[in-house]
Amino acid sequence: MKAVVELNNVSKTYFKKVALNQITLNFAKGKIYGLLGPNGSGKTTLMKIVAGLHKHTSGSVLVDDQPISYKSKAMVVFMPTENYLYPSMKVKTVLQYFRDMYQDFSIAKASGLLEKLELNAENKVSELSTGLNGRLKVALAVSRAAPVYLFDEPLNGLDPISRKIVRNLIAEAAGDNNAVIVSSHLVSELEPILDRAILLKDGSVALNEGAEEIRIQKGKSVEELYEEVYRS
Amino acid sequence: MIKLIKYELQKKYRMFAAVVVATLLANIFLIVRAGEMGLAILAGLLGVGLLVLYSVDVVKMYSRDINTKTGYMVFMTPNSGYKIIGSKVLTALIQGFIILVFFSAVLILNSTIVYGFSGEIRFFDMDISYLQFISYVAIILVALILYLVQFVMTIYTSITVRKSVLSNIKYKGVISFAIFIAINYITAQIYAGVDHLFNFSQINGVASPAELLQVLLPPMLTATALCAVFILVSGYLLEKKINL
Amino acid sequence: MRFNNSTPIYLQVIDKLKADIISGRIGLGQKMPSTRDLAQELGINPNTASRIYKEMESQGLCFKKRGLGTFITESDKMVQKIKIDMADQLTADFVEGMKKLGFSSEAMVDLMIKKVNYSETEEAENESSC
Repeated sequence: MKAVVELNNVSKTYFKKVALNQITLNFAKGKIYGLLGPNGSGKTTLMKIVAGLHKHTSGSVLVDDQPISYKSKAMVVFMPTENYLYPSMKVKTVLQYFRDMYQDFSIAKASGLLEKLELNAENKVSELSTGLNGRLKVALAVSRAAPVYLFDEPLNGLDPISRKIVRNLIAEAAGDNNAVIVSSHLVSELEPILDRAILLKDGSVALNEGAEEIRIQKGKSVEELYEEVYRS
Repeated sequence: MIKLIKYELQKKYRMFAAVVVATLLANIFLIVRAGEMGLAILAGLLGVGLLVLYSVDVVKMYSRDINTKTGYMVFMTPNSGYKIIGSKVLTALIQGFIILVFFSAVLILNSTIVYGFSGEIRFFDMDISYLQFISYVAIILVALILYLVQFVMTIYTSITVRKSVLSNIKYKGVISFAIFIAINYITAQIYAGVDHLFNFSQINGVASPAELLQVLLPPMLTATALCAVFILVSGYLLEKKINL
Repeated sequence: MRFNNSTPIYLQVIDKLKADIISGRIGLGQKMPSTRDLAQELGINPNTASRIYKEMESQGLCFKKRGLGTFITESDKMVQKIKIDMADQLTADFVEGMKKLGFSSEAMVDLMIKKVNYSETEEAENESSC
């Protein structure tokens, strides 16, 4: 299986702090990866590096076989955990913005999703509740068609219904032509859609295994394994 | 690039509208109440007000994107750092031009109301033609815009340095401010050098617009060149050294 | 569908599908959803859905008609076989569980007969009271 994102001995250090320590990971198309770990384990840093928002200190990062550059951003969809949309923009303007900035963005798909997600195109971003904001972010992300999707804590702060909607949208986005990477510290809700679970601990890879394999061979859920890894 | 500029300008729509409305109100109030004196007050207030508003808005246009999460909207797009900075500079120039035209239009409109329309304007003791007056004003204001944008670029560069090279260092605020001062000192020296090099003739009496242009052209070109340098430096830092 | 995340999900789904086949909720020869649709319906990973069909195919529970999709077996014999296999498994689990509790074979059988009688009387009462 061809890797669409390759990290080789990637480290990220901030002055004294080591956020990522010699990470080597491959992400293949057609799979959904769970990037798991508590806050500060390096999940967001790793995602931001692949998204081109952070520069790695050492090692190599390849996206679709090319060293990462601003051009890679055309192949990577990143959904940050924070609310990053301009507060004074109307939802419909946000959609137009995405259409103008990203060649692979389908405004038709996004507009179609708005109704399903109970989003009003005339509302300003600042008028949206947390739940609606979370839904909008995901809708924007899945309306792009790119080889790599990165969702950073997409379920955070959302009510149960929004969480289910978001999770299903993420699962739907996954296909044979792309890799989906989802980070979360809420493991149980995410488990059933994961192909592989990657656990980060203090900036290193503590575990990288297939989710079903964990259940078959260890008789444990990914969540149980997660608790084991982080208890120590 | 054009799209980036389009959205930057769109974001300023409300501010533009507020400025137009406020000016209109102040205008009516001042001219009706104070006539000729009102025109002078209007010119002064509007000039200073627009200048301050412009400077603050142009700086915010960049600092907001680089320091807060809303910047992700721009920085996640497949555009190089050079393009992003370049789009903000061009937006600043366009914005400056719009404000310039607005300012001139307000003054011209009001002076025709107050003075009536004649082919000439009394300027101190001289009668100069309308066309000449406009030419003077245009040249000076364009030079002003160029310099202002160049000055804002020194702020942009300092902000970029702070967010990139200095991001892990303790006193990054102080250091970036010191860098800002240093950059401006250096640019001042450059302007002085250019002035020394190119302007050996003194202008006596009333200069024609062409002569004014001749004097101002070197610093205007210097400002443009400096802008280009700052765009390259900031763009490079954004490409290679930034962590958002 | 609610999952127990500690045991293989694909097996849990197959068990459920088997139960549906036996109960008739899924008819013989019925067309099954595509792997993508199945994954979406159940909220599972698409590759897991493929695995489910693959495993069921190897057990003879379904088959692929090229270009048309996956279909449940048309063989009634197969359904009976599943029934017997499940019953077998249930019984084996019962016996093992009872053994762990310390029940002897006779005690096990006694208890079972009691339970069967009890449920038969209950059914009769329900029918007469209707």
